[in-house]
Amino acid sequence: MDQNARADMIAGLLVCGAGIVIAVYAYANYPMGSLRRMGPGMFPMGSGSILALLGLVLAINSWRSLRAETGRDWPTVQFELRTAFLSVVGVVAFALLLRPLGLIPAVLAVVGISALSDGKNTPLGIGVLALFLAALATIIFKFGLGMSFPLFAWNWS
Amino acid sequence: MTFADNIVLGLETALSLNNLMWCFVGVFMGTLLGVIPGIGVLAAISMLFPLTFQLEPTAALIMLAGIWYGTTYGGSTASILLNVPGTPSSAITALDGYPMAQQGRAGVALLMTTLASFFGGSVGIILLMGFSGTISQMALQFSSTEYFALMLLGLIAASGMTSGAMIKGLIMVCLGVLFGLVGSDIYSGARRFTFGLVELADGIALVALALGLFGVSEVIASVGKISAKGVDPASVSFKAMKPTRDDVRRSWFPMLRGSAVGSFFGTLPGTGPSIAAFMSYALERRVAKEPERFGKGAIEGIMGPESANNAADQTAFIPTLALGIPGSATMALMLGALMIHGIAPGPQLMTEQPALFWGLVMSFWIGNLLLLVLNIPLIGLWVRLLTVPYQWLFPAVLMFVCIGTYSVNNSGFDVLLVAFFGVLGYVLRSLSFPAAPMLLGFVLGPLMEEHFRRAMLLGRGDPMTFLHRPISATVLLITLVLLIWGIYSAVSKRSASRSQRSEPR
Repeated sequence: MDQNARADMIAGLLVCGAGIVIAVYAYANYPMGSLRRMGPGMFPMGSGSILALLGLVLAINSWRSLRAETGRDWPTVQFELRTAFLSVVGVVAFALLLRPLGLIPAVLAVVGISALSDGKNTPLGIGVLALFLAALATIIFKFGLGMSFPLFAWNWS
Repeated sequence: MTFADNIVLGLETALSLNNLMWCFVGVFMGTLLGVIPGIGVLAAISMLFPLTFQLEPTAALIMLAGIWYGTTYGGSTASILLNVPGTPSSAITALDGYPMAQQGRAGVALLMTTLASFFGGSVGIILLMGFSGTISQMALQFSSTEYFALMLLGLIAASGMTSGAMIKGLIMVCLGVLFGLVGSDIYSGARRFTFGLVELADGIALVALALGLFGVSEVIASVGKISAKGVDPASVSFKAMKPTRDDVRRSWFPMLRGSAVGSFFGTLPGTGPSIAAFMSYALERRVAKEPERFGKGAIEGIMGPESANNAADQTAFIPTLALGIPGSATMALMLGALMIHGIAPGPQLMTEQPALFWGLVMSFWIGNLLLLVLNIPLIGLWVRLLTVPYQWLFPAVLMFVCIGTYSVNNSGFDVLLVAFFGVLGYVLRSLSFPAAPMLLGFVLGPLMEEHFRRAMLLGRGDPMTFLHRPISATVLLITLVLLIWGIYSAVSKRSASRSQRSEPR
């Protein structure tokens, strides 16, 4: 992977923006204290400011190499949107389902949803895999380690 | 207590049946996960370390160490057999290991790397035993000023030594520090960056951050890119493992040199095993009589780097245990695990908890030995695991990530955090920001704040206090030199586009 100056410039600006937001938020919401007795806001404000500065340096650096190499075709950064989306939705589904419904529905959800992201998986394969892993999780975590979540539940909290 | 007493105490602790069993479980599970392509050492450790929370501290730490060896070793196995390294240090093993496998000598390569690991590890352990005491004696005089300076050095060094641009490493460190500040302020109790969420009052869980950053984002990055390949079982049978006399003769000096190189780089902040392995490979190539053999299955090319990275693995524990300052992201995870168990590593650890310290050190040895015993008969099993299609493995990985995270605090919120850090980690990875410095910043950030504020309090609000004390002034000077050197090399190399290596540890 080459250093991608165009993507880096945008990333640098975003980081810089985040740093400013953090520093301002810390300054506005938490007491600063004095240098001798620092309040809870001092260190976060400092770190946020440094972050903003670093982001700015990255952005300026990348901008300079963009200018130095005009005409070069920078590749666009590729994101595996489908995989990222399905994997994350799977994890979120696990988090939201475990509490009310118990272990097995949560496992079926995370496995079933994330497995969709690989085109090589067939619906039947996903079903078998999800059931197999649910059984495995039950054996390892419920019976093996004796962890305290129900397998199935309704409104467990 | 004398040195011999300590060793006996250590052996007693490490050899107790309970600890031995957990060491075995750790090594086994670690190798199992390490072999799976696409799961690096950091991801494997963070997936397994929730399991240790159920144990008492000594057993937990011993199991963690076992997990760590296992993952490292499993990574080498995958890179030799399939040329899909999970870590940069095993990427170097793949340079000559994979050609050996293609020549039908996979068995020899695997056996010899096991031996090299054991040898390098042993050298590292001896150094660890020898030097930890001296260093922690010295460190007893350190005040917050020195600690702050050392931590700063560690963070700057870690961001400079990773692949790619130093500025990106620094940004990641800084982000990590900020994530580390979330939660209650230790001095005033004020809740910072919690946005009214009760779940964040105790801060972001280390496991959630590590698993999101390394587990989920690695899965996203490798889905559809890894396909299982067949491995000829005959090439890893017992018979095929026997090295020729020539192999053995060629291996001695690379092992010795590799151990020396590794021990040195392991102790330096920010360098660690991958740099050690790389340096050792370069060294072997330089001293070789026929350098053209390298890259085509030269046994020196696996023996040197493998001893180096294992020696470095061990000596990296010196600053972590004696000072409480981890030099790499892996060590930061170990430190985090210790703190979760209520142990504060530092100069007092050796005197206050000798059983834990020496038990851990001795269990390093036993872990290495177990690795040797376990892997020679089990290589066949690992090979079979490699043939499981990745499209079935990754949903299983995600499931273990979810359950593992949940189990730490019984908190569904932590699992949501995993999703958040998974997305963040994936985006940053795609933009070639190194993830490891962020973990280091996350663990060190709160400690740095604490020491900084205490140092300023003791120094009556004068920042010059950091320069008035000789040790901290020296350390800060080194930090400054590193920073300038990093900026200079970035500017001078800017025109040439550099190639990017995979995730550092």
